[in-house]
Amino acid sequence: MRRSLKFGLNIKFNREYAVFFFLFLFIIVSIFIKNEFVLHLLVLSFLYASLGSAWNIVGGMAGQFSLGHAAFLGIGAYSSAFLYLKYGLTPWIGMIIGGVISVFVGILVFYPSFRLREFYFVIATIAFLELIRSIIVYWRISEGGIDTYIPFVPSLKNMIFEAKNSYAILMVLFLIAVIIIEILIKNSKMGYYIRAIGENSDAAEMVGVSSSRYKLYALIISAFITAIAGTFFAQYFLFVSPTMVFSFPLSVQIALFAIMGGIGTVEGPIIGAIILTILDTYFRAWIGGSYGAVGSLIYGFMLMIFVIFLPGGILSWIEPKFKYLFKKLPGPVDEMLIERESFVLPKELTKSERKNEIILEVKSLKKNFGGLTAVNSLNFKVHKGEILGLIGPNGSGKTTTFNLLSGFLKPSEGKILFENEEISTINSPNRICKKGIGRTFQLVKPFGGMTVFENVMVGALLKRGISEAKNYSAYIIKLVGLWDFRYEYARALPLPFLKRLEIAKGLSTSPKLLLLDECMAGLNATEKKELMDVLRNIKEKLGITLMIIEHDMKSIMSLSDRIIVLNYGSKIAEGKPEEISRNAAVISAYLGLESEKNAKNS
Amino acid sequence: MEKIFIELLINGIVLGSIFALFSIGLTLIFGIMKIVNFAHGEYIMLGMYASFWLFSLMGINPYLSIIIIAPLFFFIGYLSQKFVIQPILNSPMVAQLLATVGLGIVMQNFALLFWSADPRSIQEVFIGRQGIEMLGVKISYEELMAFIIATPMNICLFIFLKYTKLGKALRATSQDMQAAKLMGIDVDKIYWIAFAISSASVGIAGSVILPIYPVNPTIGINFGLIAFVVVILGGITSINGTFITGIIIGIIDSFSGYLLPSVFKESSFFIILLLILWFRPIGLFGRALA
Amino acid sequence: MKLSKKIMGSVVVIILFFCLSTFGYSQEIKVGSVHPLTGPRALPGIESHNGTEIAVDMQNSLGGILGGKRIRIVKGDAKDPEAAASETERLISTEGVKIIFGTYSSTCGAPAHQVAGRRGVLYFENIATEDTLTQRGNKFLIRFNNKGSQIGEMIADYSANFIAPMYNKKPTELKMVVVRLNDAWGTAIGGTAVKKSKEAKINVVGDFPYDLSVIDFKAMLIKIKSLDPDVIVFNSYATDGINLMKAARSIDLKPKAIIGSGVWACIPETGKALGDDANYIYDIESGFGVNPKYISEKAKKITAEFEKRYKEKFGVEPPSNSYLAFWSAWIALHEILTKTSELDTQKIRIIASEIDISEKDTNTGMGAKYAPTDHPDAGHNLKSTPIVRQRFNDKLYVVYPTKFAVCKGQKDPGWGKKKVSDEQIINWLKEMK
Repeated sequence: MRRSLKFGLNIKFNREYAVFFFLFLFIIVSIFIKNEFVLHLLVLSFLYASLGSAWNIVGGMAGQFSLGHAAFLGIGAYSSAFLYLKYGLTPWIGMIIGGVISVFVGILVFYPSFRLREFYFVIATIAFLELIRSIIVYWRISEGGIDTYIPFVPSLKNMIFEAKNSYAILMVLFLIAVIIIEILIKNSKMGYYIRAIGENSDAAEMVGVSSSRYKLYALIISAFITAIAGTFFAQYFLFVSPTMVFSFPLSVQIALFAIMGGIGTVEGPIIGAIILTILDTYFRAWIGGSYGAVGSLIYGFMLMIFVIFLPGGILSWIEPKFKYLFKKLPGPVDEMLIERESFVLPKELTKSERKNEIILEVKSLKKNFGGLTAVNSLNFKVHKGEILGLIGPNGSGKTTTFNLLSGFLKPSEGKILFENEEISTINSPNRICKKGIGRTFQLVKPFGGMTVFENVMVGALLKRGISEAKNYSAYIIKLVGLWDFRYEYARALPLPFLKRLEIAKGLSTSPKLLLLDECMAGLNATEKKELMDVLRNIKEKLGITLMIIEHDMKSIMSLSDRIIVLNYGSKIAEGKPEEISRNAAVISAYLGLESEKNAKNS
Repeated sequence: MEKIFIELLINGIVLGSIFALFSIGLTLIFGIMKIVNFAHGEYIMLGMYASFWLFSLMGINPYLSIIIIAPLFFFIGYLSQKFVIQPILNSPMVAQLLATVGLGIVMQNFALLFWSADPRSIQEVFIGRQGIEMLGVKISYEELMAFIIATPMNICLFIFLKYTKLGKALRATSQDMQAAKLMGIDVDKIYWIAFAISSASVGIAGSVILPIYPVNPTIGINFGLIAFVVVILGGITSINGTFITGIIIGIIDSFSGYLLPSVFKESSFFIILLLILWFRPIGLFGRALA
Repeated sequence: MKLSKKIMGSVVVIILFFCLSTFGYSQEIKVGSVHPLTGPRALPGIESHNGTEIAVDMQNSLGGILGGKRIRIVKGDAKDPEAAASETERLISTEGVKIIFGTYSSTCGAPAHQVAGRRGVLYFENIATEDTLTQRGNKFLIRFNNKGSQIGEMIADYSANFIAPMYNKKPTELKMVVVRLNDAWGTAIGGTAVKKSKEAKINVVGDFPYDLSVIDFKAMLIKIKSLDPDVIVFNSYATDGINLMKAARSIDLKPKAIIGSGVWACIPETGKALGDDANYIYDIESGFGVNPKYISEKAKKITAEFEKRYKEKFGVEPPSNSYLAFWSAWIALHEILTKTSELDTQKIRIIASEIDISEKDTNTGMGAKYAPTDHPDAGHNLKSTPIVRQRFNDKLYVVYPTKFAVCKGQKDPGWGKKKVSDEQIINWLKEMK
């Protein structure tokens, strides 16, 4: 049973129902309220809510915390105002142009900045804001003025209205549009990808998400919407001044709307914007007006306290209290119950008869870090459908090898051939993933703020459409035994389940070769046994090739078809498990020369 | 033409030593302790006010008042760390940033509330506006003092961090807090000492800056932004790097102030900052961590 | 439990207090006072508000306005353009004011004027100087102060006709540099100073708009030094003005005359920062302190009363902005709003166009005659005029227009030589007699 709104939007979650209910309520309110000041607050609140929501796409979902968004607002405002005043171009078109300019300019600075670490990205966005401000101020001064006035000539074409009600309605409609866009994104492949990037960029790369590309998409949408809001801003105040739009405090406020309300959520920015606007205004009225600095002082304090005590935003505080209310609303569809098992396991995944076919070949692979050689002239082959174990003492280069194979590191020398294609020059994990290599991480990298189901969906979307991906994800989740926890948030899971989730994510992209890095680490004996059953299950049902790094000798001996042993970056032994366990070199590598002597003597 | 070049250069070096002076503290907090303190500029502002009031109300020469201000700000740093920074020490960067933005707002409005918006400035400390002449350019004693005080401060901090037990403990903690704890280092103490030292250095900077520039409650952000640019450009963990970069930025500021329209003055270092972040993120003097 | 009850109780009381205080007495009329009270323009903003407050106090002691109603001020903090719009909106809708006094700042004032104008609320702008404010067809805006272009013109006028001859130069031989803030106010004054000076045939060799974010001005001043100007105009707020002066002195920039237009030229802080080197600055803008011989007894009495009350209430001598805000509000309250008992803003606006206050009746050199609504500069004070004052020992002395002057303009002896004794001042004042 599916419920859908007439636009074909599938509103599946209780909260989103509530949001639309309130939005339509806002429309009614905007039509009938007469008090000008309340209308003014409404206009501002809705505008800010849109700004916060747009910011949320980049800052909340994609995890790129921007404090430069006011720049887009300004570019939008100035573009449309300039075109309107100089050429009489209607702001309805002007705003699109403003949006395009914003996007273009944003890409120039944001794109190269995406790979910067957290704080440096923030600084880059602040630098961006300041640069744009300087350019606009310089332009305005050289034109002989500085502040821009828009004459009050009301008409629909001019986007200037006699009554504030019209502005309020316009803003609500805009907000609704923004929310719809957000929901559409969230439920689409782009949404999954963007959120995955925000949660854990490396893990996202490893399931085929090109993080730079999708951050770009997030930026484009965010900048465009913010610029349009800038046009509305200009047409409402009929006044544009550089300090008004290119202000750092405004940029901070935009981020605050989302953060205070609940970062990454749809409702968050709306709640945040309304509450902050009301607080700001009334503080100014009751305290600010009379005691000036005291109002701002309190604002500063509240900011500090809020950040320390309520980092998840107001929503994180309200949600548990209203959970019972939400449950009463028309319920979510259990997407996983859809019976159509319409996905097809790619042919290669069915049991291959030609077991001796080589799927991966590594030739003279070398990796240096400065003076240290981590991987030294490694040579080996992996056969299709086998389970190859990779063992060795700590620091022997096992994880480095995996990093080289999965595209996280670039080889210093040597070749890697996957299905006879050279992939050693591909330095991008997501492209390697698309070739058919999957990988899990030793320290698990779940998408913490997403559910188990969503975690698997991200990878499943690589080769499938949404509905097929859902079916496939259901299958994988059942396979690893996490079915009962499919709607739990990943961050709430205990370690053994996180390990299974990690494997599920590895499988989600239907890889031909899956690299498992110490998937047993941290588990107790029972948990390990359960995980081994899972792995055997996988091998039987999916027939994919597995390469496993493991320290637990018993497990890896019993699981693997063959084993490779590394020590100080070189291969010191290769063969069947029984051979390896008796190999003197191997024993001495693990236990030291003394034991070698003992082994020989015993 | 040449004379102007020299004048700009010397002006830049003097300005740069001022930048270095108030940025060194940030190297300690942000570079080494990895605390994002967006209120750094406001501490500078408070340092200037403290020096101003000591001068106006008690007639104490700003350079002498360092004796009072250094311990005072050491204490203020301690308080800040205990009450504001400690709770957010392990929070995500964003939380630290926003919390310290809030702190900055509080400090700014505190100043506004108690000391009004009037700009405060003092006459030159050295009567008769004496100065020295170097290469045909006049440098006032006040400006010279900025350079004279910045240099030993830099050296002291450098020696402290590199050679003293406490300094080493500080660096160890910044690199790996868990390991430091295991080695018996009292990590909580380290953090407040770091903040306190940084705060004291900023207080001293304030005293030195006051004779040259007026202070009002809102100037914090201008100084703060420059400090971040200097520290990041310099390679965040390097004290000497901050000093030299400060001078470099001062020189750039001076020349861009001459060549470019005023509104682009700050932009010139933002552009440089972006370029460095994109192409050499470890900064001019940073060492890449393994 | 008890503690939380106490807290609850206090909260209820506080809320009640705020609610009740908004109702007020029926024989009371609320007026708004919208100024930057926080933020970067707080200093002059608060000064302007204070001047307004004294005017209200004084008129209340004389029986109030609009048929004997007591005036009650409701404050609004116009710390930036957006806040200005919001606060004006709030005052009108929630507090029900129909008369607003404000704003000092052009940038913050513009949106406030607009909001008020569209709601038929009278706005008495005291100081904002941006020219076009009164050219946008706002029928409810009345501005007391000069337009920026008038001030710019005065700068040009005085430079060409008084400063140049002081050094035996023709205007074309006088080199001028204008340093100004790059906001609306700086453009209104400094920008027009450049324009008008060029029209007066002065050799304007540089126009330097600067950004408020600048900390160090020396580089820019080094460039100005290379232009070797005779006259420099510093069109600045307080901090930047002081900063510029100190920097100019430290690099030995030696113009023949320094003209200031802005808060910095009048405030005592400048004296504290520069000592004697704050002397001889020309302050060209709106001001107060015209020759007492020229003004009426009435004006003297009002001025004295204002100064007395100001000192009592705020503990300091009133600064320039307070005088201007005071006169603007005083004329509105005393001369316009007492002429009717109806709160009909259209009617009041007509009354405003009908008043004609002589320049002798204030100590600012300005009278009040507001342009009617069909005038291209509707609401502007046609009797506004800037005055030129020179600063000696933290006091400002009117030197031009001559009828207002208390002494003649004096030649600036240069940095380090600007000490002025009381005797000298007395002699200069005597000269005028």
